[in-house]
Amino acid sequence: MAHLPDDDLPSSFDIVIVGTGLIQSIVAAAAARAGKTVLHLDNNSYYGGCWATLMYNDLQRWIEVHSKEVTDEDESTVVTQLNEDEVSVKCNLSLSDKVTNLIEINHSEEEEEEDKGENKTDEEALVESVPINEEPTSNDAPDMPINNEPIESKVKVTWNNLGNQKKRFNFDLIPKLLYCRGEMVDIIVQSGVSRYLEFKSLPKLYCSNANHEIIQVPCSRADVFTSSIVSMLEKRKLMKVLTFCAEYEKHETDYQEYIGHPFTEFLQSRDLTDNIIQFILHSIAMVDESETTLNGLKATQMFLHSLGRFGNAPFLYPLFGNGELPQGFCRLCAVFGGVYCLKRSIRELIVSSDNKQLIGVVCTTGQRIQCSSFVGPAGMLSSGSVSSQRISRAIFITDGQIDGMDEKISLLTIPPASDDSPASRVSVLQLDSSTLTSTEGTNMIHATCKSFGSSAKEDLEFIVQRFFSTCTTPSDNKPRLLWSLYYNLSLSSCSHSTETDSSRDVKSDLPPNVLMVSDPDDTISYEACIHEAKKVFECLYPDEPFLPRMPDSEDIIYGEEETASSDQLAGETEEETSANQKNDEEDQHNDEKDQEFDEKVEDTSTKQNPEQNDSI
Amino acid sequence: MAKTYDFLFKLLLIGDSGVGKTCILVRFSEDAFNSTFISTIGIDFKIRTVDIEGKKIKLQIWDTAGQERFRTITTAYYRGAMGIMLVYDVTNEKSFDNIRNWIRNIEENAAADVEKMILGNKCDLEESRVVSRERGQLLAEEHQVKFMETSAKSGQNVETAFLNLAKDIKNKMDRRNPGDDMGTSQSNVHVTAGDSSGSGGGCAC
Ligand SMILES: Cc1cc2nc3c(=O)[nH]c(=O)nc-3n(C[C@H](O)[C@H](O)[C@H](O)COP(=O)(O)OP(=O)(O)OC[C@H]3O[C@@H](n4cnc5c(N)ncnc54)[C@H](O)[C@@H]3O)c2cc1C
Ligand SMILES: Nc1nc2c(ncn2[C@@H]2O[C@H](COP(=O)(O)OP(=O)(O)O)[C@@H](O)[C@H]2O)c(=O)[nH]1
Ligand SMILES: [Mg+2]
Repeated sequence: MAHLPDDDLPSSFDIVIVGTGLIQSIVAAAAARAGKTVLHLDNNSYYGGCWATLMYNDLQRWIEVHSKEVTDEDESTVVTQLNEDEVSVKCNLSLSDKVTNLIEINHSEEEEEEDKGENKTDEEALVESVPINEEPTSNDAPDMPINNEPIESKVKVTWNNLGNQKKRFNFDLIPKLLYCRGEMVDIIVQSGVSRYLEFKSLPKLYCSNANHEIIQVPCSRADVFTSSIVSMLEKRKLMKVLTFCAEYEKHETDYQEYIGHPFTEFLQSRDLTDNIIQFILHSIAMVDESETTLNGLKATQMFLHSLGRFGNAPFLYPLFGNGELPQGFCRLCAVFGGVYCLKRSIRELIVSSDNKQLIGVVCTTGQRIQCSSFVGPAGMLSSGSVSSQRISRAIFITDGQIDGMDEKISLLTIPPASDDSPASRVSVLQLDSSTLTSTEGTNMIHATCKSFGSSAKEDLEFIVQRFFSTCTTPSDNKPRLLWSLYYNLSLSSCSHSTETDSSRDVKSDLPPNVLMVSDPDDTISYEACIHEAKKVFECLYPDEPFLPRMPDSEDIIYGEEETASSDQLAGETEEETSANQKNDEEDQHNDEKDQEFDEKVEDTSTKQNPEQNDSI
Repeated sequence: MAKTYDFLFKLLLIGDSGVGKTCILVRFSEDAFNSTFISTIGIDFKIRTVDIEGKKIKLQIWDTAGQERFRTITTAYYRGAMGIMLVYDVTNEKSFDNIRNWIRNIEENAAADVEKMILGNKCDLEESRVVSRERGQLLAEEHQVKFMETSAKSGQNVETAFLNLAKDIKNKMDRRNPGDDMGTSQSNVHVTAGDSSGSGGGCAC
């Protein structure tokens, strides 16, 4: 693609940030909010890096780029003019080895081939099972009604005949959810980013048991007692341990000796059956077997406290996908003067040879920009201690919901099985068209797990066999699989320690004013990401407040206050006030403005009170 | 319960950097023009409630926050927009040519039925005009949208333009079957009570 000519960027900024991933975007917004001049670049043509949600066309380009062999011919021979007291540090621009084992399957082609009795493709050959075609009409052109039935019921949805509608799919590269009482919700409310976003709550969660049956995760006292997941005897125990976790801090002596030990050990000490331990670990806390007791307790508590804030659901999902979050923080940064430029990165850091401090960067366009700090993605600089882990991803488009997951937007956790697939916990997120990530009549289903086999397809293909109908394994009560995509992502993470610590600090071999940030982690939530963004901001600007509350709800005015139309202004302020109070858990506040909440939020805010712990 | 408005419309301003989008917004919402406007801190959005056919309509008008400058408008900017003002500068040929690109950009990212209007701004600068009124008119006809020349400086047509766009949106809503919703469903969760609650929602009653 031809490079479009550009205006030059301003030549000096307080901070240059590369990559519009969520952590960088939060740091960018916080820095701009603190009055710093921010230049925020991204090599891609879209926002979000691996936190992005891609539209179909962008996804196609992404697939194309990441399917290519990695060729590092980009070794630029361009020489940057440096002063005597400067050294330059080259940046790694090609991060394409992050994505591997990409396989896209259009099942309508597969169906057509099966129907014609032709040879299987290489992909198909992996699925060894005799093709049984029980649907005679699918032999014919799908848009030709054969008998007198109305066309709609006759035409089978296939990926091919979705046509232009495909453009309306929004694909999360890494799906995540917000805990209703998690820090992400607090930060977006406090910073004002929440005005750019809308959410759906996940009213039901599911888990699957050893017999592969899908069971609803109890999310309230009543749920626990009606749940079929545990026997009558276990119910009391489950209630007891959940009540304990909800306010574990108050019983420090009860878990003290397990603090450094795995959460499983603590749970075992509470006289619980294996069944319950597995259930708490994987479906409530959603942590690994090896997770420490303290983190396990925190995760369980976060889950329990999140219930009842916005419906009896612990999680929210952003409309249009998770990519809206980094874009929201980028907009906030831009409103506070941050300069944005996509399809551009930096190729070198310029470091003073005297004091080893960063003094500037060189853009991929060759432009030199002075700055006093730099934040970039882990892996951009060959130095810095970075660890990496691999996750397996699958995205499925189906013509219906998974049998047993009757709630349209919901999460299913499949615990690791000792003998069977999977070998690590798999999260299955089912989204329907009301999330605006899929089209009417289709579902987008995301599966994510830590990699255990050699490829994402190997790790996650069991989901197809278990839950979907395909032409090789047709089934009446399962949704038909229209399209699937598999890939592995290698995610880097870096540890941030404040100041002095040098041994494990990522800054150790980098200039002190250069900071690297992690890729998304493998959890379903944003908690770690917020934590890291705060930490990075604290390293950069220890004396500045982190994303303080917005000064005014209506807009940010550089100049004088508005006097005209004071009615509306009063209205606005009132609304903002009720937002604050909501955040402060005073949900019962019966201001008329509360009426402007949509029903769902309102319902539960009244239901939720008077006791916060009502839900469990 | 005293409602301050009957409908809430989310509107956007789009166009090349420097054509006067922010000035148009400030003119419309505050009836002011500050030619020494240095946008170090941008405007997120502005609110003005207008009266159309006896209904109070709250217009929530979003600015680009300068992200158009290096072709980096977020796709999120377009979410829930019900009307878009496409602005060019009558003294800048390229800003006029780029209107086509912006329309393509809107087609890719905004709702298919979003109301659009083209504005040729800075029409007070008659001596340095390079795009004639007729060419603006033709372009608008080609895309079947309304057209107006404006001046954020003198205030000419700014108010009329917004009222026109709002009226078109309202007419479209009135024509619609009341059972249809305007896009996003009622069950969406807003984690703030701020103004985003009405975006795309249409009737706030
Ligand atoms: C929305 C849009 C999409 C475009 N897409 C393409 C394309 O795909 N291929 C192509 O060859 N040319 C495209 N153009 C035109 C191209 O950006 C330039 O206008 C042209 O290449 C001349 O470049 P220039 O250096 O003279 O001006 P530039 O400095 O490139 O642009 C002038 C002004 O146009 C605006 N602008 C330009 N492009 C974009 C964009 N993509 N998104 C947001 N704002 C933009 C900015 O406000 C900028 O200040 C697009 C223009 C627009 C407005
Ligand atoms: N003469 C004149 N100048 C204008 C008009 N509107 C905006 N400007 C000037 O154009 C420049 C850019 O305006 P601005 O609103 O920041 O443009 P934006 O980038 O599209 O938001 C400023 O210097 C304004 O003073 C107008 O109607 N007439
Ligand atoms: Mg502006």
